[in-house]
Amino acid sequence: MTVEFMTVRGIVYAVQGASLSLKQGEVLGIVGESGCGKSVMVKSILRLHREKHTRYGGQILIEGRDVLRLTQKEMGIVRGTDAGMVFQDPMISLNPIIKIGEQIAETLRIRKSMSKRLAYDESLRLLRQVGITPPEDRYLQYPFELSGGMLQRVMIAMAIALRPKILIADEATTALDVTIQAEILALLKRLRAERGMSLIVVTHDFGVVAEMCDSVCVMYAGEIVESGSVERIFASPAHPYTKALIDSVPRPGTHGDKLSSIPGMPPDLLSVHTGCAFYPRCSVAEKCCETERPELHSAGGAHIVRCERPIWKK
Amino acid sequence: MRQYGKGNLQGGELTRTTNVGTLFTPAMVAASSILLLILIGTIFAGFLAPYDPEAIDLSLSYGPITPEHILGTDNVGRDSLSRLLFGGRTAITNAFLVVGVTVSVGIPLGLLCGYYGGALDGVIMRIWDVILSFPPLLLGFLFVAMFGRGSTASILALGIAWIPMISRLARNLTIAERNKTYVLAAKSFGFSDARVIFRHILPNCTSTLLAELTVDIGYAIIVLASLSFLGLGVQAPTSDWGLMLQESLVYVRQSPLQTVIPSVAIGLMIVSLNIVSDSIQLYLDPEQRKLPSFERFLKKHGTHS
Amino acid sequence: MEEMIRVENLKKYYKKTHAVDGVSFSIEKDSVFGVVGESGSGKTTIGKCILGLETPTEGAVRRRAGRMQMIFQNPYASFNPALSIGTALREVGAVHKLTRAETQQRVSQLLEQVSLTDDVLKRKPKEMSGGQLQRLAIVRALLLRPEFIVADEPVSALDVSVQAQVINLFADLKKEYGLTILFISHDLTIVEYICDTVAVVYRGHIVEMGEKEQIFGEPSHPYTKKLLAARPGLERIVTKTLDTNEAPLYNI
Repeated sequence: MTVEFMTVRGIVYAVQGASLSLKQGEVLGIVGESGCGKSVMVKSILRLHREKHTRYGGQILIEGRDVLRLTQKEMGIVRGTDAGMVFQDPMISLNPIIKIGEQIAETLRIRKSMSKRLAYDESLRLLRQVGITPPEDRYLQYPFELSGGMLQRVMIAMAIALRPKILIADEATTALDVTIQAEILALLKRLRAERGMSLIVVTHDFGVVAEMCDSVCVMYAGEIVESGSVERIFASPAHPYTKALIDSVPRPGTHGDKLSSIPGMPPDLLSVHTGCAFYPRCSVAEKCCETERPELHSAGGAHIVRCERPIWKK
Repeated sequence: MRQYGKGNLQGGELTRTTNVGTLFTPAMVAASSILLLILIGTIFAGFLAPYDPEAIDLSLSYGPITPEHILGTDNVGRDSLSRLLFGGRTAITNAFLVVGVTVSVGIPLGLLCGYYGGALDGVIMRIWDVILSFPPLLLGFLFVAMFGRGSTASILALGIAWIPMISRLARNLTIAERNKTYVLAAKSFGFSDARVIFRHILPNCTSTLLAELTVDIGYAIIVLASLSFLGLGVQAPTSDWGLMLQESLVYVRQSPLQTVIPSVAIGLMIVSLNIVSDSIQLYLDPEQRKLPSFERFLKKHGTHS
Repeated sequence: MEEMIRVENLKKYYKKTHAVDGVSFSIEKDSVFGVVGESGSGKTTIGKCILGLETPTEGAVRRRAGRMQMIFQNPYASFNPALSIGTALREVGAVHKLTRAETQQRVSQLLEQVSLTDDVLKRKPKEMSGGQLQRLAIVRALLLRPEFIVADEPVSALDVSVQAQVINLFADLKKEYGLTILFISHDLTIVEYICDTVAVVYRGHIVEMGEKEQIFGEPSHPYTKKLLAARPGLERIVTKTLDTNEAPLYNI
């Protein structure tokens, strides 16, 4: 898949030839730093970018149907029923002057043509399901009356209202406290189990991936640089970037010795890079990495890496 | 020494690039050239005007468009083109004076009210309420009584009548900025209140205030015109767009052209001002900047890879 | 050990809420004092009261520190978006009666220390990355050579991969300038890394306070235990046994 944007600074090559697949019921993590294209990629699944200034390429197949070839009207049906989405900041994702219950019920009324009564009952059920109690009282509250964690639960209730097959959580817990984050992650896990949904978790924190996911895609500069099962990637990361990301997560009990970080920052995506995008920051880079674009290699089974000098080769 | 990140900003790091999207949209080009024409015309009215704008020639009353008088003549035979040029000078100067009065009082007071709130805010906002309850026309009469007939009275009346609006806008913008972290950070460095208000908060409000003010300049021309129309503003025989409109309206049946000329001038001025101010605003805020479509961009800059 | 800050029965009430409700502690010179808690627990208010940015409703803050400075959570919010970085830094010097040359010299020295160069001075805040801008916020705070710094969630708005840059920087600068730091965070792992003493705050009260080893080793309050348990765990996965037969294959 490729996604390119028109911006005031030029064309941004946000996603460049990324391929991934998601099985039913699977939890897939997409990890990378800010500006690596992970959010852009998942938003493209629902074609949420402004169409006039975006150009998609490749295919996005949901159950064999290419999302990129659908009309706007068909797209309207896909959004919410095929995939639902939860964003980072619930405070600005909800309408501040409409009661939270109404916002859920409205979705149901419009999209499922439910009667007012039915929509109300269903909204209460959804609120209860995401752990908002008592739902009757909360239904009548406005977004500013709820805490960030509660609002994120409301967002999740809205996202699953139309029973989507895929739920996409785009940095959904990044803005939350650790304790609340743990609760929301637990909620997502439970919903996935109850509803048999697939889950895509976008995050910059490998800790969250470790907690949640079955498989993981590491994104860098608009490309997927490594993907595979969580266990494998944690035990033997093949791409230097993956390893650096994992190492940068502070572990309980570390003090005295220095925390490790990745020097520099991701490249901006205004130009297509030649060679390996990670080259300037890579600790094991060699001369040829600057000019030769690395290919995808299998590192055993489904474990794939885009690097000519994977770590274990040493 | 240890590196906390890359020192230099080349390579992978954020770099400034050429801006896409242009300030000079077709509408902007048209509007600014009209404005430029108006400004040149009025500034150099002395050189450009073919006749003395106040020279009466009763034999030419309602003269038609002729090579000598490109825009005809008015009821007492004065050359309309000359009056238009000189009239623009009066109208635009006065409009800027009105906005000047409004800005110099309204914005500082608005900023102070917004920043400090409390009693100061309460008192000043009530004063604005009182002013708002006076129609500008009434204020106009009041000032005429004080200063006599003439443009001073109408400029002051209008300027004061508009203070509350700009002041409230400044106040509300300040309230929104006041609670932002950068203000707290500025305070934590021991910056004085005056510095925080005028050097930190004001620059973050200017784009909105500026948009309001450009609209006000246009609007001031109209209202000043209607005040002259009522005999409260500029007095004959001075040339002024408002006055031209007033005088011509009495004889609109005999010579509709003389009504159309100042109307078109005022309308063009206002529309162009608004377009220019909108375009500048949009351009300064890159998120809102108008972008070309993909196809057009690629055509212009060549295709990639 | 010399005491630098002493907070006695600090209370701060807003209209309805009791943001801080009777908090006492003292911070020793050259130490890092951690305040941990969820958002809304009153930990930021404590920091602001110490710096005098808020007036306590009750109680007292005794300061034996010279200059004090604060570093905020979101670097993009703490810089005025309308001013360039250079203007923002120079202004701090100018207000505090440093000469231009003095300011320039301090700025250059500090920039070098945080691995940035002078060309950032021309930029606007939004042209910087989060990690870079937070390092610049630290430069701005250290410009006046403070003895005491309140760091309010200084890394929680940053990517995990750059958090360490800022945390390491804190640790180094602390040694170099003999800083005393009040470190406010909801992230226990980072607090464990950088702090000497830790206070756990819950709804305006300190529920547990002590040396780092004690809080993390044998937490006694149930809330502390809950916080500790909520940390997302890499350990869990790292310790999972791996199928060793699945040796990596490399094919070109």
